[in-house]
Amino acid sequence: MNLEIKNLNIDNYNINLTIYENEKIGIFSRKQEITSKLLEVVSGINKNNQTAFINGSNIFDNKEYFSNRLFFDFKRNYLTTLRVNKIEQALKDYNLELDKENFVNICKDLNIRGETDITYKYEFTPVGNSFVNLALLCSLNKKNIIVNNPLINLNLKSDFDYFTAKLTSTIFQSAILGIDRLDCFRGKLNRVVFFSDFNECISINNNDTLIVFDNDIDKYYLIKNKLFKGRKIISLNNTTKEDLKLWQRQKVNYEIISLYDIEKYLGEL
Amino acid sequence: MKNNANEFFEKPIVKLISIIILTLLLILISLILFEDLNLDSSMLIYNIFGTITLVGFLYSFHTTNKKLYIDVSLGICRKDFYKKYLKNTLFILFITLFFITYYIFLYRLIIANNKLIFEEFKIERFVYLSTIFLCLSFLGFLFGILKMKSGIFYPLVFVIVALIVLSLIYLTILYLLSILFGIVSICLGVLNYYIIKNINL
Repeated sequence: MNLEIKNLNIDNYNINLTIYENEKIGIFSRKQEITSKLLEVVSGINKNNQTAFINGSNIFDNKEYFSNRLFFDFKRNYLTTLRVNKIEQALKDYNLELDKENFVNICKDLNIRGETDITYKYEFTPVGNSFVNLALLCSLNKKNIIVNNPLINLNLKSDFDYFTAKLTSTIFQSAILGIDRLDCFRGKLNRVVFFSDFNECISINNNDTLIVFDNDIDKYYLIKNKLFKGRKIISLNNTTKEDLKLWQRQKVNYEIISLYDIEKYLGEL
Repeated sequence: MKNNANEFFEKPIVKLISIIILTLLLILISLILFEDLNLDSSMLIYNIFGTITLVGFLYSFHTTNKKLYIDVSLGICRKDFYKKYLKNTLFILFITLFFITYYIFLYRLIIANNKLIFEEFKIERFVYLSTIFLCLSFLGFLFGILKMKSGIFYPLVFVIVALIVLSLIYLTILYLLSILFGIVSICLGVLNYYIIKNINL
């Protein structure tokens, strides 16, 4: 399923994007609400003003599209129990089948019970809520997922690795992820879509690099394809060898980085 | 064998039928027990309507306030969501009217000795309360979509309940009010459909 977005306006951004089948892509913005708005449009939850289509059909409230995708925001509570029979029963209202064995195994792997207060009801800690959301998402046997805040509330590296491995694994045909920690997804995504500080929406491939300058560089040099300006200026690495030689001669401070390292240089918004 | 029995009793339709049968039994028992007390014949009917109206208002509010976003996330489109809500609401009203008809029938049989229904029960009040139920359910639905804060919503529930009780005690032109509330509930139903088709969640 190739999802086509043409001239979608979100805040000051004009978005043109094609999301191909079998792609794992990340959406990154310094303003979380922009990522949320895009994901809500891409999942068909909110109106897109005739700008988002799949196989020629508008995806907004599209029954066929809905039946082939799942949207999760890991900030929200979806479950209030760990009893698989009850969950299975409740999911029948949504025409969803629960892979009970998979759900139980992921709960054990993550030790969800350690993050749950079991009284007359189940109360998950924020970490436990993320755990249980992942367990549910991975147990619903849907091939296409859209997830916002996938790593929210997590602190341990082992949890980051587990989550990113699951979300980008082959159990999902395509995944659109609203990235909250970009470095944790190193090498696991096909592309990352950035909402720059300059009102542009730019798609960057996994292996592309970026270039980081001191933040006053644009007073002296014309820097093309800027993405972010904060503590440093970060731009696409479209420089030629001649440009690099010139900068070296003129002792310009620059650093070529992977796109997954961008957060180290962003600073405060 | 035990597992099969447990599975059977866990089915929603079995639970629903059990509750309906239990309610019919309780109505019968209450009539027999209170036969000698000369209570207002409509007391139970007001209780039933009061309960379903309050529950309907709260259920509708929570359906759109919390459940709607999760439903669309998990694959239910907005039209199906609204259709299901309408079906549930009308089903509640239908079941309530069924219980009330059953109660009136039993009352005539056991207590009223086959007197005319209109001598004992003010039917215009039941019509009025049915339209109130629909109106408040759709209003709760609307408040939920508009994300009304709980701090405003719950006090509003008390105010509305008080107004309904006062209207029953003091107002007499109930058929006119029923028509008015009937029109309001149809308008609210259409408005809710339009809003749910277009609003950003």
